[in-house]
Amino acid sequence: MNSVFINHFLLSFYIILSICGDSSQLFSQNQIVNINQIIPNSEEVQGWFQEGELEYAEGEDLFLIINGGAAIYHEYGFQKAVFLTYINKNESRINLSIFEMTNPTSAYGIYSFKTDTGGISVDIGEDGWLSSYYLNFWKGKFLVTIVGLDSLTETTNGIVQIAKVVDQKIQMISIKPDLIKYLPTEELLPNGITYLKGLLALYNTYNFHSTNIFNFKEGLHAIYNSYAIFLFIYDNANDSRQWFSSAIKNLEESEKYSGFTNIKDYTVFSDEKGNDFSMKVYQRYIIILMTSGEFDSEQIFRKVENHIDAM
Amino acid sequence: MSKKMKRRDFVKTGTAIGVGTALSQKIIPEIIRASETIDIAVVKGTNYFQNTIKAVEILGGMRKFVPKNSRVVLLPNPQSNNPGTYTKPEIVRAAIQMCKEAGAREIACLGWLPMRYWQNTGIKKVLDEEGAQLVIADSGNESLFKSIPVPKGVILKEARIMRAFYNYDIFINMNITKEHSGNNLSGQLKNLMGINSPASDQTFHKRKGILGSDDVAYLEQCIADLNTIIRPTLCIADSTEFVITNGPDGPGKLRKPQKVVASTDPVAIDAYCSTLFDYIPTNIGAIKKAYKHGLGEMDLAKLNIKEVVV
Repeated sequence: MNSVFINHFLLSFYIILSICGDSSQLFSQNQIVNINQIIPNSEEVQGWFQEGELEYAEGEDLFLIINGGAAIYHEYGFQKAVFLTYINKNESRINLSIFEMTNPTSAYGIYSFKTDTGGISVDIGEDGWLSSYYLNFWKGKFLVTIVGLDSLTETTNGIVQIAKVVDQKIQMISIKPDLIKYLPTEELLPNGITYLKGLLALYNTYNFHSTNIFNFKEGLHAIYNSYAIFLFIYDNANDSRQWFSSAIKNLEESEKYSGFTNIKDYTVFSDEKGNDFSMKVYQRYIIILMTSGEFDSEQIFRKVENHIDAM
Repeated sequence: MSKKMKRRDFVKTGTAIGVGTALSQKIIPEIIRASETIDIAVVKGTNYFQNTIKAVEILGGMRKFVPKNSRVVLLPNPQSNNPGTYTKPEIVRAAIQMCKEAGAREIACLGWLPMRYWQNTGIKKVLDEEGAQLVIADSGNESLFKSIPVPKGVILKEARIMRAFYNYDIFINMNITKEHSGNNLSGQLKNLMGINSPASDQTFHKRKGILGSDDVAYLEQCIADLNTIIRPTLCIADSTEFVITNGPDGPGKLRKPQKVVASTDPVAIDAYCSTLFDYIPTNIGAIKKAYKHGLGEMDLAKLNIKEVVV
């Protein structure tokens, strides 16, 4: 009965949208965008001309173009990519790379991995971030990376110009991972979240161990003013407890860590650089807090747990 | 090899196979003499060409490594033209000029990345201007690569090295120090993947055949294993400007120590360069595993490091 009602409701909603002329937008947001169709041509980017041949990579071919750098894209879910260079009359050059990932979450993930807190937000794509000589944005299932090979103002302007053209050509829905909703937002640094899909991303964020001791399904690293949070999600509470125990065992065996102490329901330890960690399992999550000074772990744990409970 | 073995013993008894056995026999005593004084030369300055010249001079000069009439192969990294991801052309130029002055009869760069990479990074222009060759193996043609057993390999049992590599007597490894998303540090040890076939390299990232390595330690071990079959005559690391995030291809945050580093010990030079990222050398798996293979020293306190500013 309910499903019949829902189907009728959705059909009515669709008909209303069609009549109102909004269906084109609905369709365009869901349409499959061909990666070749979103490359700006020279007429669309004033003063910049394509130099040389376009390079194209699909699947494992990415290794032939960016070698070992390909592994992290595959960890997030890579499908295909195009690479090309633009040149202007003064022979300044800009590299454009467009990566088509398996879905919007993958695109957000690799975007969050490739950007950091050093830079400024730009209103391009779903999220855009301009660093000193390069710009990344993601939209739909695409990550777009644009690099200026010099630091001239005209090159930076060219980067932004190219980014805007590509942005306009991508009409897709962008969806961020639900896990982000579990993070406290107070004191979170701009662009401070990295979405983790596997060991490589975690290893590059903080090298807990060179083997996959957490084996999480999804994870987050979030940087705050005075601390950082790692949040890992598992299929169920049994899995999270099991991986928590084995991870603690591996960390204890590592020469890198010391001072393991159990306090209430969490474990504290330090690394050789003086970073302090508090780690606990909560429902189907492992929560790790990292700081290098005095810190109220329990208060932060409670904030994360409250967000989890509220979802 | 015991971890307690002294570094001097290692240099004398190291079993890694160098190129050009006959010539390398002649130069080994000179390398030992050079390393008895300075293990790692570090030169800081804004003129990267001069830094390179000075760093090799500190080790005793290029003549100690490049005998007259020898054939020299250089392995710079031309992976990408994004800032801080490729060996600077002026550093390659300095190495070529020093080899020419030492009396090398042939100097070449090798690799399997296509010509555009060499052009885009400016290295090709330097090679042309200096009269050095560029030998590129078609990455899709496995017949251009030679199967080399890795008897000491813990994981890697066979490498696929460019056949052309064995046409040379002297090997100068010229990496750019940079971050690597696969194993944190792309240094001398990792740079050897530049002459191993891409098909073989890809297996380093595929534990149990699964793409997108789930085990960084696996990649690190493959890198260390690869280094047991080839040892550079001279190591020159471009640590002038490099990415410390989003390596190896960038773009990423740049660090600019403005240093050129030279050594005959690939483990030692990587250990030193890892500190330019604020890493602790023993936390870099490839360094630790190469040390365990007996390929060099990772304890900087045991090394004689000379740093100068020019």
